[in-house]
Amino acid sequence: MPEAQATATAVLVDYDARKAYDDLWRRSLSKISGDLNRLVYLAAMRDYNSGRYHHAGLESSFGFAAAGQALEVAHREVFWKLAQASLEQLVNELELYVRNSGESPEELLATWRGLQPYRIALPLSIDPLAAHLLLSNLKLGLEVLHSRRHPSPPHP
Amino acid sequence: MTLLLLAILVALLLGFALLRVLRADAWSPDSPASPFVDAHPKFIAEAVFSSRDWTFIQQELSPPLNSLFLLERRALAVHWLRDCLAGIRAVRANHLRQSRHSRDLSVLAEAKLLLLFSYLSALCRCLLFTVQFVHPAAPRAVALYVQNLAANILPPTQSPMVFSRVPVTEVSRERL
Repeated sequence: MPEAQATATAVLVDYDARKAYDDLWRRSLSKISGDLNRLVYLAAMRDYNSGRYHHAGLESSFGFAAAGQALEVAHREVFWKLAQASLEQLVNELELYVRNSGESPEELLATWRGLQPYRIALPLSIDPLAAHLLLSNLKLGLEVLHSRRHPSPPHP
Repeated sequence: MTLLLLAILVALLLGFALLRVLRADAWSPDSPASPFVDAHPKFIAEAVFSSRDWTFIQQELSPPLNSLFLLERRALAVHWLRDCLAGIRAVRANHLRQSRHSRDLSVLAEAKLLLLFSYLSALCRCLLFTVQFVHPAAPRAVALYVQNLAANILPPTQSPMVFSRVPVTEVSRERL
């Protein structure tokens, strides 16, 4: 499980939070393919109103605070990995996300291009420029996927 | 356009000369954490001004995609440069504030610093103007030069993974 091992270098001070973080990677995140899928999964663990993270399994094993810290660290980590990805890598991530979603690719692309739900998948209080970079690349990536499905007519 | 490039070249040469003089003094700022550095992990400038993504977009053979890419990258470049300017202003203001309480000020060192801050700001403004008219990847070398120059005079940054709400002692960027 190379990703979880590598992530262990993100040393949380709190012992329980560190254990919760390792558990999160071992049981959940390592089984999710693609960082964009992981980002959306982790964002879904966050309460829209309070911004706090909740995960019933982690909370019962490690407590609310430790589970929240572990989820937040993992969320940030995945965000930074995606922010540093090239546009080509991000398009591959988007393709993987579309494939794994189980939804119709046409519908999913239309929804993501229109509503831009990925905007709320970012962690709180991150560097605005890094957020801008990732959002811009996601927007471009979606347009790439759209244009591959609907190629523009050649110039006369 | 040629004149603009010449102006940038002259500014760069002046900058190198200035840097050689300034390095002799090895100034370290008093500010413990600069907003400039925090706001600029190195990969961002590399990504914004890189031609790697542009090459990828061109392979898609879609003119609307090309236009959208240039629009997005210009907006990012402007964001990066405005943040640079704000950061330089903040560090300069902080230094001035600290200097007021200092009793062993060197006029020469202060003049050199003023020149350096002005030089960095001028470069950023020049780039802000340039990216409106040329391809965002064109001024890449100058943008990275600005970033390196700023890194020389500002304190070392903390990892962008480190944040206040969760106590983290160390975060490796190896897997990122």
